[in-house]
Amino acid sequence: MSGYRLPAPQGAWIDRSRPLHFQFNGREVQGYAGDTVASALLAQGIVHVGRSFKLHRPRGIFSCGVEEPTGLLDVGLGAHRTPNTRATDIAAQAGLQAFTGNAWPSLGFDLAAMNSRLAAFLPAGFYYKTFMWPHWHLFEPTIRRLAGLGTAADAPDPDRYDEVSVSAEVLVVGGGAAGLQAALSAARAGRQVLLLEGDPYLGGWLGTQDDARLAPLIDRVVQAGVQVQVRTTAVGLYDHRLVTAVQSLETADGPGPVRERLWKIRARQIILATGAFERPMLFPDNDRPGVMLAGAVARYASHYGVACGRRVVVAAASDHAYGVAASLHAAGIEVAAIVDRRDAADINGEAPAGVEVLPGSAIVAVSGRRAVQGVRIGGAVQRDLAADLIASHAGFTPNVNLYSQAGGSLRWLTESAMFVPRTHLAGVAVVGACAGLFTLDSALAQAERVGQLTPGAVQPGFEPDGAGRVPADTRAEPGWLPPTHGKVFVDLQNDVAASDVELAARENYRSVEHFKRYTTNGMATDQGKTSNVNGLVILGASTGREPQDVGTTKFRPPYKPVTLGALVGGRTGPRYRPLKPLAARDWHLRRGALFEEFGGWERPAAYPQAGEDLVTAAEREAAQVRAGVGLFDGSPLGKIELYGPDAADFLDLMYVGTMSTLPVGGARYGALLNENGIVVDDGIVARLGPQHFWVNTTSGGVDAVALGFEEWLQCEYVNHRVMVMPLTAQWGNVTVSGPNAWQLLARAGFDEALAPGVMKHMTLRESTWRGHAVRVLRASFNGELGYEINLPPSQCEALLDQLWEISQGQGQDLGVCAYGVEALMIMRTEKGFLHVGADTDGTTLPQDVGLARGVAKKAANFVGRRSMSRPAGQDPERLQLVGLQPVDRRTRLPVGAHLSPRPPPTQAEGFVTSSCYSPALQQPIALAMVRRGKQRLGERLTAWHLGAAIEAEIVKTPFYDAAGERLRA
Amino acid sequence: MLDIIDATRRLAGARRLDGLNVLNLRTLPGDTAAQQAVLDAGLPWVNVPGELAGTGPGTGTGTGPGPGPGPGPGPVVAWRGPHDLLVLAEDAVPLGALRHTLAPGRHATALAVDLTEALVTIELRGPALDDWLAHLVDASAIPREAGRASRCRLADVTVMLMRLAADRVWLVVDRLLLPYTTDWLRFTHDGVLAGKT
Repeated sequence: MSGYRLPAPQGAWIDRSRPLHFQFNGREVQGYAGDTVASALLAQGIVHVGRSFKLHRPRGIFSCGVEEPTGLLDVGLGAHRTPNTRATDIAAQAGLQAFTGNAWPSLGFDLAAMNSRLAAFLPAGFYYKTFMWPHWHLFEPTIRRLAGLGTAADAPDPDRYDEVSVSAEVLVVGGGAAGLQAALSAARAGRQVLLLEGDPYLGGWLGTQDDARLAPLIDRVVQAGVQVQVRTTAVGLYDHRLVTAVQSLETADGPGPVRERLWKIRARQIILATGAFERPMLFPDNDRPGVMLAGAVARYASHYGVACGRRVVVAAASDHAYGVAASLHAAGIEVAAIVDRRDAADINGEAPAGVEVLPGSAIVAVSGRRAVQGVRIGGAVQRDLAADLIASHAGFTPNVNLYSQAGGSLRWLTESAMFVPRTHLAGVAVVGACAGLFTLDSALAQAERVGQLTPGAVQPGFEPDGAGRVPADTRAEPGWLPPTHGKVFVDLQNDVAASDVELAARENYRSVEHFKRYTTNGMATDQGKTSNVNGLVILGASTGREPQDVGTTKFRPPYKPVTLGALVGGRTGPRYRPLKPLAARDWHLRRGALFEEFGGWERPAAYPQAGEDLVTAAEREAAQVRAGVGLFDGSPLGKIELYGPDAADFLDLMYVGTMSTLPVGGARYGALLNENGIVVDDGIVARLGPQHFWVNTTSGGVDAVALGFEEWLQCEYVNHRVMVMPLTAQWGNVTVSGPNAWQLLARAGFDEALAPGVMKHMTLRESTWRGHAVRVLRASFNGELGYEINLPPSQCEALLDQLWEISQGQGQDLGVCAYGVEALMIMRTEKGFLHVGADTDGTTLPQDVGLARGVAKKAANFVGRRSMSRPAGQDPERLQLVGLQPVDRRTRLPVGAHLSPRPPPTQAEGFVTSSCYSPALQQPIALAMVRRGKQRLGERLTAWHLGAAIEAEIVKTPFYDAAGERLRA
Repeated sequence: MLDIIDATRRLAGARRLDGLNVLNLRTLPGDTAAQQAVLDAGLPWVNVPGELAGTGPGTGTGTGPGPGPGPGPGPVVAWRGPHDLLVLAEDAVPLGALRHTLAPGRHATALAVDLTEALVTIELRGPALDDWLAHLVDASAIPREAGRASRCRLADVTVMLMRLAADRVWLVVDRLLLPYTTDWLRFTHDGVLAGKT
């Protein structure tokens, strides 16, 4: 095959005044603006572009669109590299670098090509039957290196992507003749119409036909006000008529400010005019570079001015091939013969003058390994023909991907050997070749009618006219085949041969979905656009079924491969997800805070001083708080207000504890469960008024808790009159704790009513500070006297400043420090306080962590109560939260370490959930979930971690101040 | 006022509106106290989903869309959800009266909650506003006409959009999400409107 450029007027899509150059495997390739990488390669006579996935056979360009199975290249360098992408779908750009991704050390000399010599040992599913002894992992690294195509980028993608949301009264997908006609018809009916076309130009198949009707049709569409969006491919169709599409903004000059844009389109009416794919003929060695789809050969000639070869043999089983032969002939390309699998009586196509038709015949052998050099014909006519290009056409496969995604079912049209839409969907219509209409006049007439449908209506019935008589199986009769013949490939991308399909059938893979997974037919980047029908026809024949009974696999989004960048859009870096800053962030920075993310908040983990790392800083801070007073920014603490006549009853339903008995100003700890009784959050509830409550939740759990409250109110407890108001952003929180906490607050001028002698532990007072309303809760998460001062976030920094200034002046004796989340974790571990999410998981019931006290006495029902009493919940073997300390009192127990008497693998007795060095106790401590833990106090277990064994003893918690005297002050 | 994206740019700009007082009115079904309090404060009452109404500073009790012709952001009342209204005003007086009337404990079925610290308002202006918003929120969530509001998802966070005029939208967002939202505004503005005039 030796491609070359055809003279104008061939090449309507390229601009010959704008030549460009790019590199393919280091070789310079010349093209023009408007070329794809594939068309430029073909124009330069480069036919061998890749190696196949499994057998590493030489492969070339096969198609002219998104269905390309073999022309897969890595494009770009470094961070700009896009692996394994279709050369037929990438605009040629000046300076672009393209590489073959599946050959080493070079495309011409590929060591893995030895696989093709071993093909007999590598049939479908060979990897399920081999590499099992002595162990799969022995082979895994090598197989993983061999598997896959292309090399991923080695740095974050620097390109820019975004997304846009639009509405359309009528959305037409596909800008071929039928799509244009439907769009025009809808626009004339007064609809707002959006038309998407994946190619750079409108016209579809009609654009290859030099048909005078196309240009006026496009003009009328534009004049009718249809919004036309080219280079935009619809890739998904979802419920409620939501369509996603990817727009390529790359041109011959490279990407613009945005490389790709994801469109999210909501339409009242969708008209699918997605056309059809060509189905290839099946013959031995039908994968050789130089074997192409006939329609693709015609498109390269018409759109890009490329002759894909100098002497073409057309392998056909459909009349459409005769039109392709005629257009090639007209373009000046020699057509050696049309080899038609059908008998002469079934042929209605007309060959161009001087082109020989060989009916009842088929290609039975191809000569040439890296490029087609000739063919052997078998059947009614037997001869050898010299040729450098085989244009293959066995009929059409309507492109029903989006229709199927919308829920449409298919039926097999026997005469034309194709699946066509069967059901009519409300708001989703199909027109043209997608609907099985292959006569231009009938397609246009149907599109005209569909365009006038009322949006949302069901499309009236229609009869597809198909593409004439086409045999379903286009393989040569066995009797025609020479004694030695090559593999007949069904799926070129995955090296699935007809023999593999038959093997799968013999192994009883009857379900088309199982067949797909077993053979890989129809998998990977092309999703079987050119192979599915051939595969299931053979499967049907091998299992005694018609294709209708075999069915198709489920079509799923995306319709074509989509870059991760397009899906991500702008969600990178600071836009990846919200990170909430503290209002007093500057104050923490001035104190030398080391920030980390905790539950979506950027919080100080610690305030390291010179020579300290995070751990030593946290240990120093914890010790300082226990000796003096610590300042902690608790603003992220979840805050919700509940108000209403039934608020108290509702909280009883939500919490394990009883909240309705709280006096005004009282506060109580509570745990929240889900319906399965699992502990999902905890916190303190305080009563602000008879029907007014202040609910603290965990920092990361507040949104879920507030939504959960709403859900219960709206779905289950609908008669409860309660308002739920999440107010985390409205209130900041400065927590002052430690034995000298009140002394510091007193020196700052806080009301004497807050003094420990007056205000009891677990009470809340509303007060003012510098004229601002504050809510002060006496509670403790670290076991010390603690005041949680809730105030406007804008005032947090001022309060912290005031307290810090005091600590540096008259309050130097108080031993004030700022402390971060890590020190808090140390102190709460010393106290044995539960950290939901760290000490609990998706199996933890309240009784496992000591939160079931008083449940029996609670009269009210509550969410999760019944689940607590299920047999599994009463199992004495359940994991229970206990304390743990290393026997040597020196070695820290790693979080996650498994506890068992024997080294793993063995059934674990439990695992470590929290661990730290306790400055107060001068030794490591830990919390752990241990089977029957409460009954095993004093028992020794071994903690196993990465091969190390640490002896540990189960102990009672809290480790520190068991009587709680310090927090009660 | 703080420019996020220079509001004098021809196509679209954004600025943060500081000093705006925000009140959340919550009621239970059947309550009438809140409506009476709103009307007594000289503010319009809205009870239709997506409705937005306002009065301009010094213009009395007009109920036309938007904040009226006055120089500053006048009170606007927006429907945020069933039994859930948002009132925004630069002038603290009418909101103060409401807050007092509907303070906790005064009515069993209605409550006013101050959200001034919790919410931030960003004013988006310019003729290309809708093009810009289409890159941030679902097209169906963009209030197209003045006097409409919607609570929607912007780049994965919940915001409210209030259409004051064809070329003017208020975007009300949780204060904690301001840096994130601002980043998205700048990112999409640069991607969509860069190079356009």
